[in-house]
Amino acid sequence: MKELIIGGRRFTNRFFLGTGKFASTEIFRQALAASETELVTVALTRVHEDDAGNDDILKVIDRDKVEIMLNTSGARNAEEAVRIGLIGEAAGFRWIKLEIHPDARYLLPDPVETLKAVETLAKRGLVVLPYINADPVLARHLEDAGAAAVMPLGSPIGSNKGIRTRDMIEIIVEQSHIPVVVDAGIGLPSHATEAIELGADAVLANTAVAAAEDPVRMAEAFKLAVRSAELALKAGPPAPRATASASSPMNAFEIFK
Amino acid sequence: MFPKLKFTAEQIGEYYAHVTPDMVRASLTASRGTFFDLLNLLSPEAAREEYRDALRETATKARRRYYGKTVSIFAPLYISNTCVNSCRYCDFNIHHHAERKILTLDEIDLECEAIRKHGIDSLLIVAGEDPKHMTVDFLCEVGHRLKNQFSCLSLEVAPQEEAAYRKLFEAGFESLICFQETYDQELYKYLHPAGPKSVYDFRVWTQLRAGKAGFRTLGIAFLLGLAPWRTEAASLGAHAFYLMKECYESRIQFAFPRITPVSGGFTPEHPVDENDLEQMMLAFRIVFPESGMTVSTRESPAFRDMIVQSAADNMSAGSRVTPGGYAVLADRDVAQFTLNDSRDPAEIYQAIRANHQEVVLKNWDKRI
Repeated sequence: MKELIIGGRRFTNRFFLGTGKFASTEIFRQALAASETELVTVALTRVHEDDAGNDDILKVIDRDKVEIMLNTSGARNAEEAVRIGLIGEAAGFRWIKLEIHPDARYLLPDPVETLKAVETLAKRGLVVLPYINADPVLARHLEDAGAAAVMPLGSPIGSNKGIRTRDMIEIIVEQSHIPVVVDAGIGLPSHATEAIELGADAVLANTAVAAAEDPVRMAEAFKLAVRSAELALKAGPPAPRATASASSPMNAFEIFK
Repeated sequence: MFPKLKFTAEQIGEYYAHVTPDMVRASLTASRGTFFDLLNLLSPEAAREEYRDALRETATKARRRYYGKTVSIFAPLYISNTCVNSCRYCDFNIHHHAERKILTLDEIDLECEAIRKHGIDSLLIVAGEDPKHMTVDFLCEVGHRLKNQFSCLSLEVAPQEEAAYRKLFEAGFESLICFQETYDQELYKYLHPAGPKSVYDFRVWTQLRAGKAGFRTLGIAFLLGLAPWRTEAASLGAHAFYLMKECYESRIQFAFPRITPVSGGFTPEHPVDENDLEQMMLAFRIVFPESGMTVSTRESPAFRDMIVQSAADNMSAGSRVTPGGYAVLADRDVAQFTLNDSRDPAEIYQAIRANHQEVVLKNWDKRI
């Protein structure tokens, strides 16, 4: 497995965490610690609370250890998303998770508006990670437009249905030169494991952790699941795919230098 | 080896030697073939007679799924056999005192007329490496002249820079073939001692440059007989996987040209027999079901008729490999290699139909 580097930053943990839907900042703080994640997403609305406000989520994130990625959720088109990105940039955030969903029911991402917004934001030198449907051609266009990684969905946000887009994610992984982070639909640690086994570079989950009865334990479970899949890939699994013989020094997962 | 491949020839050889029956069987049923599935199917283990029917069956199904019961037909048009290279195995070699011919634009028209009489609508323009005469401007002129006469124009000429490929693409060429001859850098140096072709790297990145310039089909191959074929085939497979990722809008097309006797008397060091060739073509068809595959006119009619059902999806018909061979000087043969299938197009069409396949002469309409 290749080292995971996004926007010039090296990640040793392939599990990323969303910050929404937690019952309290304290529980989030504990879950964050248990997950040992190095990247969290935060909605702009939560960044702009004043000091007297009721939300101090940013205060529990150690920015030396954990990168904060501002997400544009709520944006319905490129214009709104770019505006959120620029406000974030002014507030000192360089990482943007681009999320544009005009569709209120399934929160499915808009590919046309997403491409436009990436073009604009990436030109400003921001580290842009677009959330997309698992569309391989769109992924290539976004790569060309300057996305730092692509984030294809496993199934609709919050659905916890797991990786229903398996075949398309495989194609994205095969064709992409930038990291692939499976985002959305991850309901169980086994889904996260599956994503890594498919060749994704990282996994992002939010609802599965935040809405669990014990988010702290669940955060740890995800950390272990992702770590486990990564270890197994490095170990080189044997049959049934029979891709490498035990006596061979050849690693089955990357054939190019 | 293909420069991006991280394995050495020794490691590949070691891998081949340890392929087990289970690995062959697993690769026969793999849903998405990997580089290692390709190696498993190319291995000496998979060459055993007991797997041959399963290989044929799996390849035939893959071929049918992507290409249906059709065979595409094209004709090569040699517009020149002048060449400044000194490839030790080739009759176009600069030191070989054969009669040389460069067709004029008018002669090209005559040739095309003769080719079109057989209904052929897909043309491969072939020329030796001759920077003085086969300039990009001349090739563009040929392209502009022919693009409305044929639905598909392919090029098999000396490697060019990306900017030249852009011009050629605009002139109407959309498909490119360039044989690497051998992926072994040392051997390549020995076989190509002089001339522009002696630069391995420029040649091996030809398809990458053409793909970036917009070419829709990128043809790759090595010359069978120069080096151990299983090692070369591993490089060919890696080359394909690499191009599929770098030029995802282009389609890969394989060819498997075997060295046949030439008047210079080059004897292949590592001859490939028909049985090896079939295994290789079946393995590539199984692992790359969507890629194009050409069966050479150097092969026998019986082999061509068989492999075009299980692996290859396109073939030439009525080929002449002498500039002017179709109309201008039909009987003075200064060929690059010896043809084995000398049937005329009508006979080939008949053979295809006898195997319940349809002949496809046209794949695209330029007006689109």
